[in-house]
Amino acid sequence: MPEPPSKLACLTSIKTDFHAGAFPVSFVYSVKKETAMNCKTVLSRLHAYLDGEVPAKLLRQIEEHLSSCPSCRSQVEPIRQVHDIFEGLSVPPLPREFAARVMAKAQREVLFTERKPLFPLDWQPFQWLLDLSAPMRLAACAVVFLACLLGVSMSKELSLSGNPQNLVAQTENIDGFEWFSPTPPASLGSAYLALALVTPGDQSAR
Amino acid sequence: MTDQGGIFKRATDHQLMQAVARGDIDAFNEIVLRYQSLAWKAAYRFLGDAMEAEDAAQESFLNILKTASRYRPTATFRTFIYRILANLCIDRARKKHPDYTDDLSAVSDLSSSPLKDLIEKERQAQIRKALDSLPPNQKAAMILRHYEGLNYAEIAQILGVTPKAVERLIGHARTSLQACLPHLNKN
Repeated sequence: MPEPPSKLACLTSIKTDFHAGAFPVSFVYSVKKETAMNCKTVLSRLHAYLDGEVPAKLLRQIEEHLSSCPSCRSQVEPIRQVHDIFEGLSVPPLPREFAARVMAKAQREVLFTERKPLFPLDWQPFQWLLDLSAPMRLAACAVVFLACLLGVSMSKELSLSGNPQNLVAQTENIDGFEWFSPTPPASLGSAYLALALVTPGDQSAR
Repeated sequence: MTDQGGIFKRATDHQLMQAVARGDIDAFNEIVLRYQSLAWKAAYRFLGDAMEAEDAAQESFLNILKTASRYRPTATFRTFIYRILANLCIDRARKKHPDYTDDLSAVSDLSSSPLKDLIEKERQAQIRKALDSLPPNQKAAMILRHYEGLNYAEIAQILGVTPKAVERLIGHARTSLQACLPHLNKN
């Protein structure tokens, strides 16, 4: 008894025959149809199909399959019946004065009682920057950068130019009492100035 | 709320929300008038209780007022309302256990005979019971699809999931409902 051909040999033979045009076109199409749409695929997309939520190509394929498959077709009707049953669930009319009650509640609960935080939750301090066009945004960033650079350089200049001795002299001059100097001789201001200008050595002498 | 009311009637939802964000109470009133029916119906279908539905619908409008300054028109305003409402209803449904009491006011029809009325009430109660037996997210997806007529993409946006997940939610919900309501199919 001859040994049966291997699986690989069978597939290679079919492939060769296919390329050689050994199979009729109708056979090739029927194989394609079978593999493209089987019952499992149809049933998995049946709800989407009934809701009109499948693309046109898939819709045609499902319809073709349903026309030739009684088993899948029998699944369609129960789903349609569920849809029909739920059409009958009634809703009572809108309660009277519904809008008026909402407005009253809104005024009571939201508009008057709401405590606004210091910064609102949606506070976006740099929103203005995001709203600008790209070149303007770049320009704004450049201005801010230059301002920072200028500030840093000025602060450096101040700290480097300040001689320690000069600084002491400046602080001695700025003691605040020179504001009282133009007071009339017998006034309260002049008396306070006289008291304040008394040095500790003078006090001990007294 | 008089002169400006006329101006707001012609305004778009986005323009109204911008006015509400500036603190305009007339614009908010116009939003309530435009969407009160939609909010009420969706809340009632989800919760099945008139008192609770009114509370949820009112709360959804108050949430709109509170979040007006953060509103961005990325989706339709209807989707925005449904998202607020769905979140509120899902939270409420998770907190409370269903008691399956039917709201008789929903089906009062004086022209029908007492027997017909009774049968209809019983049918409504069974539908409500079946709907309440679904997990909250499946129930929300079903209501938004069946009653509000939204597509999968819109429902996905409202529930914060993918359209594929919505398809699965609706599929599971319908399968559960088919099992719950076999005898109603013939009616």
